[in-house]
Amino acid sequence: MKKYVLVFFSIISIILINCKVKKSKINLSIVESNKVANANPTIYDMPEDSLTMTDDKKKEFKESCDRGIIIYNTICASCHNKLIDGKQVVPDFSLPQLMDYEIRIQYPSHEDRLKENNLTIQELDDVVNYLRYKKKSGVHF
Amino acid sequence: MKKRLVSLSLSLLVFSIIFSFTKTNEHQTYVLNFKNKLALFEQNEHELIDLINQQNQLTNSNIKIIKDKILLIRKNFKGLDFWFRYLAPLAQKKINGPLPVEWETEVFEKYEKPYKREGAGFTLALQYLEEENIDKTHLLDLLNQSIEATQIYKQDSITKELNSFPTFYLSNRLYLLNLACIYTTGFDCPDKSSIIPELKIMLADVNEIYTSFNQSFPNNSLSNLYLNTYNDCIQFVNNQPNNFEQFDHFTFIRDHINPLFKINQEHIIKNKVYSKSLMDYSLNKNANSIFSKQLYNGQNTKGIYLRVIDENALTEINKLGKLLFYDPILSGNNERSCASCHKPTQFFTDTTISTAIQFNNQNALERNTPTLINAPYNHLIMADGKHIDLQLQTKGVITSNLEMNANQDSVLSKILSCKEYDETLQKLLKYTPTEKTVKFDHIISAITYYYSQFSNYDAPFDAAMNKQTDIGEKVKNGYNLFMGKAACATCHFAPQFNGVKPPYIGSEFEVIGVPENNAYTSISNDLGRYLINPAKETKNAFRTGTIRNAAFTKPYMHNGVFSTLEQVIDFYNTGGGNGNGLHVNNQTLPSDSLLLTENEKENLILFINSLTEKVIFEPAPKKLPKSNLKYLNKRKIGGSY
Ligand code: HEC
Repeated sequence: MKKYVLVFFSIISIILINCKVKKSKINLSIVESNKVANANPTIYDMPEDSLTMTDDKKKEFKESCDRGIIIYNTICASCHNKLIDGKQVVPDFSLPQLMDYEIRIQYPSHEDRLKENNLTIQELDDVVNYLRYKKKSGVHF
Repeated sequence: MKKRLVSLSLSLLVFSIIFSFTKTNEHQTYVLNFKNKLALFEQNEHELIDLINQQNQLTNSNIKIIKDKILLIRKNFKGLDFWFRYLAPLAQKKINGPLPVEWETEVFEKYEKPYKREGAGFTLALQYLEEENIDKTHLLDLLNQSIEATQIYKQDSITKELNSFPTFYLSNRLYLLNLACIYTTGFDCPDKSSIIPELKIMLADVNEIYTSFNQSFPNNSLSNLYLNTYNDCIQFVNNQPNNFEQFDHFTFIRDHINPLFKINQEHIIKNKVYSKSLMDYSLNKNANSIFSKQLYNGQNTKGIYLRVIDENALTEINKLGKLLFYDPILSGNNERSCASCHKPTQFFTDTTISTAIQFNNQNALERNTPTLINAPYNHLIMADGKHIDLQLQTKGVITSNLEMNANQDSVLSKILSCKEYDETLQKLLKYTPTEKTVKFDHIISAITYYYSQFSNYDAPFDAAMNKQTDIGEKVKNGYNLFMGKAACATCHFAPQFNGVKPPYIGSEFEVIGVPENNAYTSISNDLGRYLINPAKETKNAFRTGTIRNAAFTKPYMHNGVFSTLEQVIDFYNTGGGNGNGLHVNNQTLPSDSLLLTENEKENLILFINSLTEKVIFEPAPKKLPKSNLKYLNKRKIGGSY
């Protein structure tokens, strides 16, 4: 019996260690992800009401998304980007997941980095705009 | 081998199932404690309704019976309040709302419109029973709403929260903060003779909650140190007189509540408690005292530079902010600076006049210049709460035609015409990667960062509360009056002694009926909050300011009508606007006299003096940056008026 327990725990710890290694890999490549993001032309789907949007509004929207991508890369990418075939991929979040201020508090991992003293309301709006209207990567969160 | 693996995984499965079962069983004492208290409470609520329904007429003796029943239920309710306030604060307001109508704007909803909350429940029912011609339907409505709200606490989501130990520590934190700010002041208990008896019941009930929690969560239990400190607290309170005016708030908070708060914060860190509730939105895990500037986060003082942590960069921003603060280049005529009105030698206000002069250098403004010290501990800025953050306020004052009368683009280009400003701002641009060029936001962020550093200082009263020094008996007595007889603390909450109360996620407004002049001929015609949120309850309502540094920030009130603290205290002592014969609708202040003696008034002022912070001020800069536009180089440091 003792043996099995030992085996069991070692498997668990191997899994845990693996997870850690993977995570730190992602952390190391923030700079990389910024490069990828900057190299891609920042094209977004326009919001549903874009037909009635004035040119100014469209410009404003694009600027918000442009800021959003930078903030995403600065704050969120290290935890949320997926490494697929050696490439950084920004996952697709669903609409209900992108509930502005609830994002701040619903997840323990967000506790330190998504508080008001690290991310303003405006910036959160920008990130949400970006994540909502970016071209889909097909990778789910 | 395969068989073994299968049996291994099977036995693991069985184990985990058994384990999960025993786990829920373990939590049952605690959850049952809640459910039993709730059931008893609900039964009492129904009995009360039946009692009222049985009366054909509400005679004085009937009313007395109803009142007694309500008082009994309130006692029942005390233990539950530990959970109610944290788990479903909106429902709590229907059960024991302190005010019939409140307009709220919460931090996480800042960019939404203020919204109306209607209170109901026992406090309001008790108050209603004091009126003449009681309408039974209205009385029943107040109480039925509370019954309805009680149902919310029966939902599965609540049970789920109860089964999670982090929620316990977070509820407990709120409970301790409320013990320091709410429960002993009569905030939600108009019958003063009940305040201390109810407190005694509450402390004992929560002790029961603690015991059941420790039984149910042995791995995350409250430490013996906490429990012993809590028992000392109970003993202390039990030895206190039931007369609310004689209660020793000072010792209660310094020796009992604040130490308990500290231990609870340590438990939060040790048990890796994180919050999923908006209730904890601005509270800081790392604050180890209620009397700490770290307790809650009010404003982002760095603005667009918020994520800058590099010390050298922060020093640069600070230097830049200081120059800008004194630079009249921010105004339309290059003659007024921030320092024109917020005089750094006078606690960043102007103590010499009621209200500052307008841009036209002729008329006076409507409102008194507020001190900038501790402005970051407000959620809404300005007396009417017009701005949701400091940066918007700075933008607002620079572009207001009554104040600095400038426009953003021209200010920016004037600033960039100064080589020193331009170089610094360009150098700092790398810290704001979302911005490709220098914007007005960079300017105002440097300013708010600069002046906010003067809010980081403590006062002798804080040191006393943190047991670093002792403080005179008169100050203690003054604080006890503040919390008790003088009723100041029902609106000015620790630690800022402003209108931000636990859990520190909103700013409160009050209607007190400040007069237009010292002769009390009429109420000030400034509509206050109504200008921002036109609802009848907000007419003449103003945001509750801080008492900190009040000894040095005269004149007082939104219009600077009072020039001494004595006048302010007399205003309250005589029942505010209504007490002084002005007709104030919805006054949120009692209109009768507080009956303060001269000696008591003196002690109150000594307490206020002990809130003078040991701010280290700086001299003005020696010179302002040179511009390549000649006409700008005539500007005076700090402006000319
Ligand atoms: C420290 C790591 C970390 C950072 C930084 C971080 N997140 Fe998360 N985030 C997580 C984890 C882990 C979860 C899942 C938590 C869970 O399910 O309990 C999550 C969940 C989410 C979800 C919800 C998905 C769902 O299941 O509903 C959204 C949306 C999200 N994050 C957005 C963001 C955004 C936007 C940022 C940057 C502003 C960000 N996160 C930064 C770790 C992080």
